[in-house]
Amino acid sequence: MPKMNSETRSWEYPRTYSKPIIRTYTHRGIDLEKKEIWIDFVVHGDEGPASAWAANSKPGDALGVMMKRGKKELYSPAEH
Amino acid sequence: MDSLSQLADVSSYDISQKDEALYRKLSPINLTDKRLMNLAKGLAPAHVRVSGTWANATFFQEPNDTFENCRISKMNDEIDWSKVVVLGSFSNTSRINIIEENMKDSTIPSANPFIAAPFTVVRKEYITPHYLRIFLTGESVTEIAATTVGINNKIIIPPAGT
Repeated sequence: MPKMNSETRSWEYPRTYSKPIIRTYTHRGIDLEKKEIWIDFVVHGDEGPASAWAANSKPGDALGVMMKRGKKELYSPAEH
Repeated sequence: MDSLSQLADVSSYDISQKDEALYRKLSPINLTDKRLMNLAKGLAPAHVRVSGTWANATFFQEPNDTFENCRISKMNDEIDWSKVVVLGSFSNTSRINIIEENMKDSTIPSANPFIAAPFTVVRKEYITPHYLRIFLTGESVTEIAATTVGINNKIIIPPAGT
């Protein structure tokens, strides 16, 4: 996992050879009783890192998740 | 020095040094102040942040230590920021002064604005042949509960072979 550098306020990643691949996704749901979140992936082959990871992942595989804390409005309510 | 009234008196304090009428420099407060300690105990279990911004270096005070002898530690190394209660933020110093109390849970949002946590795959469910839902579990599910479902996150895919 990358670590937050408190002085530069930037994420510090491990060295290049072990650098993970970062992609933007979203959690589509959460179940606190089961202690689970779920993320949806489009499986479009092995050329994309996230698609490849998702298709090949097995129970027990690791995935890091980073996000900002707090609630945020996804989109403003329509006026009409 | 009346530390507690300084803590509470935010109305007369402005971090903008341009406005001299509003700006008032505060010297570091006395972390052994009895009233401050009582306040911290009353709020315990909690950390009380009394100065600076969360991004700066963090100063802890050991029991019976003096302000000058505060032990320096870095954010995230020793504090669970999801359990920090922020009482006030006074940015007139480049330091954070923290009184450490025994603490458990707090409903106050963290001073660290980010979640970064490992998860593991529980199961996979193909909703369509090309639409895959992956269920993940981890200690930080409860932290994610305080965010909005559907908001962007960053997934960290381990490099091949690790």
